[in-house]
Amino acid sequence: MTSSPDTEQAGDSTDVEQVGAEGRLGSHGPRRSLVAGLRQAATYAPSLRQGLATTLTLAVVGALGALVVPVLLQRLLDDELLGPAGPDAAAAGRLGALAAVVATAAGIASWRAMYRLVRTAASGLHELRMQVFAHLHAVPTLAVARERRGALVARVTADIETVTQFIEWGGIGVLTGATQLTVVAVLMVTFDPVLAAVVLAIAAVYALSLLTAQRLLARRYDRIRTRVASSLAVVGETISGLPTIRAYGIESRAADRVGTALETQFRVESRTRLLGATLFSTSELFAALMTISVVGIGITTADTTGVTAGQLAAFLLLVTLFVAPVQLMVEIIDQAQAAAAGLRRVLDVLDTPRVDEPADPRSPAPGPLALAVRDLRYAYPQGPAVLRSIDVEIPAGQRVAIVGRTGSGKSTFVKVVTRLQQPPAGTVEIGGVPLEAVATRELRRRVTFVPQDPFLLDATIFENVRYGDPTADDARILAAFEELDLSDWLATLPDGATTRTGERGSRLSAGERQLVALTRAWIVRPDLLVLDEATSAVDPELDVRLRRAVERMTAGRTSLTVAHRLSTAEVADRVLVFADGLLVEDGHHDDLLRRGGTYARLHASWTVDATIG
Amino acid sequence: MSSTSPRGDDAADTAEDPATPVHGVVRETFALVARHASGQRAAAVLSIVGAVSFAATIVVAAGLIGWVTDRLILPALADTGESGVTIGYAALLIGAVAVWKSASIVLRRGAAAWWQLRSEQRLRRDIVAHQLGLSLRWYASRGVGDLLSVSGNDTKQSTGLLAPLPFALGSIFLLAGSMGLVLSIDVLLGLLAGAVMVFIVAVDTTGSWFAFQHMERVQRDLGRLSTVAHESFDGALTVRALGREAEESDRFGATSASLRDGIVRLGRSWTAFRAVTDLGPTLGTIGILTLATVRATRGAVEPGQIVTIAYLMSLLVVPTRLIGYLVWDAARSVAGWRRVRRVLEVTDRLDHGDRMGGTGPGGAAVRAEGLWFAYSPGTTVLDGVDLEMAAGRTYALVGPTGSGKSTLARLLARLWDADRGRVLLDDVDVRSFAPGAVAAQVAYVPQEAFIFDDTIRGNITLGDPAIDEAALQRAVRLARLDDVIDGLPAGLDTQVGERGTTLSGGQQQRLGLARALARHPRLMVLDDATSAIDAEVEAEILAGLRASDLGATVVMVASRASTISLADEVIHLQQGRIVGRGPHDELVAHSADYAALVEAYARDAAERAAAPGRTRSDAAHEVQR
Repeated sequence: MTSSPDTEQAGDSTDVEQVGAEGRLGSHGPRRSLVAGLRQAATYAPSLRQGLATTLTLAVVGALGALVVPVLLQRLLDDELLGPAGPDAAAAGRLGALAAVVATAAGIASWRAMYRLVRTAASGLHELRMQVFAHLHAVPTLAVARERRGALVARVTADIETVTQFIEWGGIGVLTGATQLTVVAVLMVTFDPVLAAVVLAIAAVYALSLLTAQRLLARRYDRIRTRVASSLAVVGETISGLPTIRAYGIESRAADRVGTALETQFRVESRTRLLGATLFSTSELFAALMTISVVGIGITTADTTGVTAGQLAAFLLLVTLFVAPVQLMVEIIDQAQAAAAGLRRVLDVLDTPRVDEPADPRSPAPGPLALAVRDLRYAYPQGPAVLRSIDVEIPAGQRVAIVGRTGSGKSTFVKVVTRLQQPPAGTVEIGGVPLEAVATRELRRRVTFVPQDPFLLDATIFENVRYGDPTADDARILAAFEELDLSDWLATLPDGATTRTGERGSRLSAGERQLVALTRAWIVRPDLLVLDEATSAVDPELDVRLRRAVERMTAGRTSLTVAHRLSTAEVADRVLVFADGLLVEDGHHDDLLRRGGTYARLHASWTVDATIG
Repeated sequence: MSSTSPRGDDAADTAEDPATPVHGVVRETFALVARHASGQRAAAVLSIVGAVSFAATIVVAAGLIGWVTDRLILPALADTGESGVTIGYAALLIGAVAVWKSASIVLRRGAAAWWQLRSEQRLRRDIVAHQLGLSLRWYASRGVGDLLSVSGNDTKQSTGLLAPLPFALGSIFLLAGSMGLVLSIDVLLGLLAGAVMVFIVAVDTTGSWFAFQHMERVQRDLGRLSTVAHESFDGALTVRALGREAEESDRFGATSASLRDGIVRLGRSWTAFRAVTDLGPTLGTIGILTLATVRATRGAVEPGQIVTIAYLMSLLVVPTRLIGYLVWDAARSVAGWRRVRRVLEVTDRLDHGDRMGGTGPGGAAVRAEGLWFAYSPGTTVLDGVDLEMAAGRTYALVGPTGSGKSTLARLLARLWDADRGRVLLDDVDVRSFAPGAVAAQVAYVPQEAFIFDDTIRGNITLGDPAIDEAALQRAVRLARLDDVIDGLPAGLDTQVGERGTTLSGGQQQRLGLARALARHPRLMVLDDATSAIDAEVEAEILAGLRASDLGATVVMVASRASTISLADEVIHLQQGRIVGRGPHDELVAHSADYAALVEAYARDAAERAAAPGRTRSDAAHEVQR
């Protein structure tokens, strides 16, 4: 146990606090429009381009269907009902049949276009999602560590989902809306250019005012979103903190706090929704203005334009066809901003440089690996140096313990020499080969790192151990527990090795999670084993079990152990003592103890803690 | 660790919603709407009035357009029919109908939004209040994430149907009104129009229902995808350290592909249904217009009436589609409501009496009689615990992992109740205290103190006005929080951030202790509450506590040797039973198990010293000398 775990934080959360020299997600790519973004996305996800021309053609054909009824009405009125020959049932039937055929063809075309678009979006974005996911596991650790987990998950879920929905809904909307507006406008012009100009002018004013209204609403929604989020945070805190609320009997105060937050949320939300309803309702006034103009101007200018009664009646229908697409297009323009932002976040990930694989990989010498570190430095921008010129040679097969207070640089050291954090200034050689020249696959097979707070899957113990080596069968895993003298611990679990560990291993104690992680590392049989010991309090028996397992694992192989329990250092071949980013002491436990320096002080305060007074 | 379920607890309800049967949804939809309407009668009525009024404007507008055609357009352009109407008069009428329609929309949408938001607010308030009263044992059996989504998403989802409901109800009036209008023109046309509308509504509702089923599956896949991604990014360091990136991609890829297939399936059924509901009305309108023209050859229909029908049919498409959407929203809302109701129907709450607790200085005497507790059948955690603890003394609960220490601590603080047996404070059964009376005497401090998004001061007082500045300062000193506060920019008034992320583990624990001490508790239960605090500081805190005039009885769940050494007396637990108690030295002398547990280090060191061929590798050691 460390002498001052007071400021120690678990696992990689310390990384989150620090500013990465390795950059962060999203600072690499240019700002781009939705179209440019989609074009770039298509280079990662070729499915997005497939059959696009056919889909577009089908959508345009489909949009023509909207014209069938107005044109039919015009022909029926002008040719039949008001025609010189009067209405003719057979001719009306023929017109009707033709209209039905055209409408059906257009309907089928637009159905295929919609389906094709959905399929394209789903396949393309699946490809994109895979790329982003793989990329997130390949960019430098720090770039990922600095992001909140939720934000990372959103990159492969919610952000991509925004784009999917936009393509499915907005894509169709833009296609059919634009086509419909165009063909309706063309038809209007052929009926009566003057009337068409009037209607188009009103529609333009309407579109602009709608756009302004949308922007106004969007800004208000942005503002209230933060208020809503904070109200939901109060609810969340009340639920998560329920045991504390109960323990201190403050239920009524907690309920009041929730009530106030919810009332505020209701007030801002309902006010904005009412504003939205009011703004939305003005579209009826614009539609009425168009109708009045069509009737008024149409009739008064009929002598000069020669517009027919049928055409004017059709015009009245065309006006209703004009309002909905304008509304839709304006809404899509706004949604496009959100989709572009989502897509940008996704593409930013792909723009973040991956850790380079060596062009010409070299293999370290077989067997236990020696480690040579020369002038190793590491610093975070705007932060103090974490490692300041470390020189150390570790021969193959040596068992090394690394000790030091929190913040001394010991954790960074082991992450840098295992290439989990990079790039170091200075050189690291492993088995006689520069660290950066080793292929990742080979490096991970031969070097195994067990973090302080190891991660377990929500699966059985068997599956969790097998995660280290997918070829290991149950017998080999049980043998591994036996070799580490952990079989009797395994027997204390309700279902032995088939016990499920729960979400993030929550059904096991912190110490027990380490036992599983150690076994997992053990079956890999690495040539260099790097352990970051857990700091959490575990009961003494378990603690001793952990230490013994570590001792067995490290015998006869090169190992680096960040030792929080100094009992680990007592049995190591060699102890490296870190302080303020420097290697201050280096030697065997006995010698360092005699020297009476930093290590001796650390050891003294640990002894107080570990034995009963 | 009060919020996570302990090992061996299978009570967590992870079952997914079974596929929803149709008849159940219909019945539950009515019940749900009635529930939401009962609290917000005015808003509900107003929104439906607005929707019916809106429906009326559509019928009137269509009639008006036909009338304008007959009275204005035809006389002017085709020299038929009787005129006598000015353009101004027609414009006035069209404008008036538009204003009426706009007002109806504002009423319908505004009132519906009010109805929905108010219902959501009330429901959320109620479910939080309800959970505040439920037993912590029930709480621990459910995942916190699960409960959060019930109070957040599910309450929102269960009111979701209120937004389209008035419009959809209005649409039914609209369909009836439209049919009436067409019937008044011509019976045959009216029947045809009626058939078309019935067809649209039938396709809309069944189509929505099927699409909804697909949608549920897509939502589940999306949830699964998010879980896999979360797990993978959480374990990023382990994934890299073991070189498992490719396998992670495969795992994620399988879920992502399943999501893709689900979306395509949903798209196939949804687009087909959209195509039918788009084409149906168009073909219907074509049929009606053609038939109307044929009927007009016999003089049964006027040209203006045909325009009315065409205009009406073009305005009907969106409102009838709303009926289909309602089916979708109702199914979603019912699914959300079921999850909310499952929590609202839980009645597992603590019983209370009306006794008030002692307050004055000095500790409380604690007695436990025959405590028996199991998280689920077959996993007994406490198996008949009898215990007596004198006022003002300090006790350590010691035992291996899983021996029941934490459970016993929670029962003593009455966070939970035992299945059998009872806990007494100063000879009073804790269940006979009035609400809040136990909390006023007992302070329970967990290993992970829950930190609210507030200042340090607010986190200590928790809004209790009875805690004055002097009590606050004393608690801060006793918990050794003063060292922490001195280093903060705004001292006691520093905001600590959500879940106290700006504080280290040890600082959070000190804050948890200060929170307990500020209340002058008569019994303090510390559940590994000092595990992240430096041993020397821990000793100072406990020494300060004993030297103070608080005189509280202290019960500590302890795993560190240093903590155990600070207790007056040790209570040794094994497999849910007390197997020994007494001063530490006595227990070590008389109990082999206890000695094995607490002296593991010493024994380990002794064994190592005795073992031949120590691990020191001289050869390797020489190298670096």
